[in-house]
Amino acid sequence: MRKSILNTYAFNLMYAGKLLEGIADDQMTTQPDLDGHKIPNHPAWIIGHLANTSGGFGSTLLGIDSIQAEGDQEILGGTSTPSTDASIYPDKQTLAKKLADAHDHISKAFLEVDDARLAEPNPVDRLAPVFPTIGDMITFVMTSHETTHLGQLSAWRRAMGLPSAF
Amino acid sequence: MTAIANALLIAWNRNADYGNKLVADLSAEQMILQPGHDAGPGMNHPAWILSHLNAYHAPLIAMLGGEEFPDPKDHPFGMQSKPQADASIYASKEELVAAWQQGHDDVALHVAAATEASLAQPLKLERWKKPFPTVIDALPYVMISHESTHLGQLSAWRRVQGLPSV
Repeated sequence: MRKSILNTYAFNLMYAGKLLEGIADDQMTTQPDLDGHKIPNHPAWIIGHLANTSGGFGSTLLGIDSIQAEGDQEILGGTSTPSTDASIYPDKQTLAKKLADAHDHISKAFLEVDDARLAEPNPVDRLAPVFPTIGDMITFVMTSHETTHLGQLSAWRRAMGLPSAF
Repeated sequence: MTAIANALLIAWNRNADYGNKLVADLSAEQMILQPGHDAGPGMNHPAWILSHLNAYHAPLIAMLGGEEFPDPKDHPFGMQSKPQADASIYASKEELVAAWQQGHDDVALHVAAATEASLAQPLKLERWKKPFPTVIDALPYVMISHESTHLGQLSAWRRVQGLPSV
């Protein structure tokens, strides 16, 4: 049954790759302005945030070493604000690789972690009321959290006049 | 209920709440606003997003019951449809939201009642059999990731309207 979550997680990575196609390096921190209002979440922040979430938080949940880079939490964490300063983000290719590496790291651990670990209480008190166990939390991280942000990226593409990824 | 079904149900219920919040403060006119439509493909508007997502409730219930169901891609608001500026082709906001909540409640009941045997049933829809051989293979994507992607699009749409995040 974990295979179904992993298959969806793998699809997310593929979808992220498709969404990045056709985006130029200098567009990665663009916040398109339509009708006087901007879309704040740009590709660099979205892909970096997903890599950071899996590689950091996801790793902690599964009891494995974090692969979060120093400084990433400040610019890519859940309370960070996307910046148009491209210099603070890795480039597009690096971000794509960080996401792929995070996926690989989490996927292996999720496949091997024992059921007892997944049944343990969520260690994050503020999230535990909604996601009581580690299993509930990591399922959300690997499915809904990722694709909500990828949906934002697909909308960003439309706002930039780019075609649909599929 | 199996642990994975429980985890999916948590994400499903969270999406129900999130979807309600994303449209709660929208007027009827805003439901069909499509920013960027003049210059390109345009963003998916709330009426289309809810209509499209509501179309998956019946297939999910049929799937969980081991029954055949029409291919969602052929639904009037299936994946081959595009958002239209004609409000008359969509249900009212109130009707869409009511269907959204009712559909979520109905699917949740069927997920809660699912057994390992019912989740292991093969899918009856030919097009989905290869990517999703069994019901549990399909649920994370059809139930969670697909819906979350479109809700992410709606969250980005809100920012272009100058509306706050929810």
